[in-house]
Amino acid sequence: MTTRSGPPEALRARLLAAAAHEPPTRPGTWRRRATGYGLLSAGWLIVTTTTLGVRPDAAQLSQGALAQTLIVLAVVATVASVAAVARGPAMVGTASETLLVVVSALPVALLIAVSAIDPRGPATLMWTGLAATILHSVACDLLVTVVALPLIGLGWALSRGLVLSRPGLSGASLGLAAATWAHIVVRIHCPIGGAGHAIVGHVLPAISLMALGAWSFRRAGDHRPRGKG
Amino acid sequence: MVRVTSPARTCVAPYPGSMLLPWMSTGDRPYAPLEEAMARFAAGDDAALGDVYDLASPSVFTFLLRLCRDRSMAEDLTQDTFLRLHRARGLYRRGAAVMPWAYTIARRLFLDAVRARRSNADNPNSGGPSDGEVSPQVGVEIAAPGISAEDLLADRELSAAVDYALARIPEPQATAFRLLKGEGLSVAETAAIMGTTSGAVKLRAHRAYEALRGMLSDHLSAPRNRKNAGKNVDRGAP
Repeated sequence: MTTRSGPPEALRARLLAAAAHEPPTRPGTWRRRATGYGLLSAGWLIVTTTTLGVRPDAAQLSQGALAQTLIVLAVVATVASVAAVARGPAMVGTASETLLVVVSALPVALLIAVSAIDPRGPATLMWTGLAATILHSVACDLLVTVVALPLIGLGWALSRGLVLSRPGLSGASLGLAAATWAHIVVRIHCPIGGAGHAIVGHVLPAISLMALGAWSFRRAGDHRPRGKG
Repeated sequence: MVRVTSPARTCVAPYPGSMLLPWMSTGDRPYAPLEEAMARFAAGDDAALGDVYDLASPSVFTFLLRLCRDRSMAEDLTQDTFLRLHRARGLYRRGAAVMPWAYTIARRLFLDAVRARRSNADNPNSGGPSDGEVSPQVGVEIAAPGISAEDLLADRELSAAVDYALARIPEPQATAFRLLKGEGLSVAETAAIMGTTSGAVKLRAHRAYEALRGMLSDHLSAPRNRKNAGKNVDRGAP
């Protein structure tokens, strides 16, 4: 039978002395943070939805199609949110396999779903042609980005202090979640129909937001040794 | 290779269902000593940090020592690892496995320290043994009484040769092998620590195993030559 050599006794005393000077997070920090940031996120979405307003042609649209779109978006956003900020069974975040599925399969599923069931009522504004689609999508791109950015900030703040196993993937998942929540707000507001506009104006910003989330989480995950306290 | 057991490992073993969701994995099952100590620490019991350290530090320190091959660096990173656990204690979810968390922090700190040294144009192993030399601190201590001196020597030489060989294969492969075979973690736990998929962990461990088998073929096929092989290790021969 064999055993391993352990750390020196002095290291224990050194650690306890250093810990006495280090401010730990208070008990129940995660619960308070999750509640607070969840409420702030919900509040932000309500404020932006109220400010932007409901699309003028809502009454003339196929309510079933709109509801289907919103339900699909809400499911994707919820799954991506949970995957992004979960602590996981080992405190290192969601498993890599799950995150890979979330950041690769969900955007594809979103594209397919939005293209297939996006409402195209008779009063809906529609443009055909690539140039017109892109031109009229820029405003929605900006709206989605503006609505999503604070959500990324809140998710980042919620995960502060965690050592994530795959910070880049978790951040990308958060970016996807924020973009999809923002997509819901803009979808309620935007009267422009058509799969082209939905993809270019509402789904496409998710790519840059996913990249931003991945970058910010990777930056936050830099744990280079600092002072020993 | 000498099999290594750890008291802290027993704190991970009760959670084989680590792939389960948190609400599925905790249940009414009594928590292992390390998780219990961490839960007390997270609840505000400052004194429990000592218990957490006592239970987890042997494994963390040995893990870091084998990564760093530098005792001083391993001590610093062990302290940093536990300080990070200390700072993040309010984020701890009761019942979550502590060892994969600690290993993840330790590994991340090691990689960041190596990157920091590289960015300063220093050799990451500058404070440790040079190439071809195995640190006397790296390895294991034989605790069982009654073991013959020859077996003890052979064990030590084989352990040194394995460490020497592991230092010569890519770090992800070596880490996967160490966590799976040395620390006895599950594939899922190792994947969580290394931030990769279970399939990738299996592949890395397999490649490490193949590389080790090639490097240690003399040791494995000719036990009589072990003493000579140990001398070769000291001389820097693979």
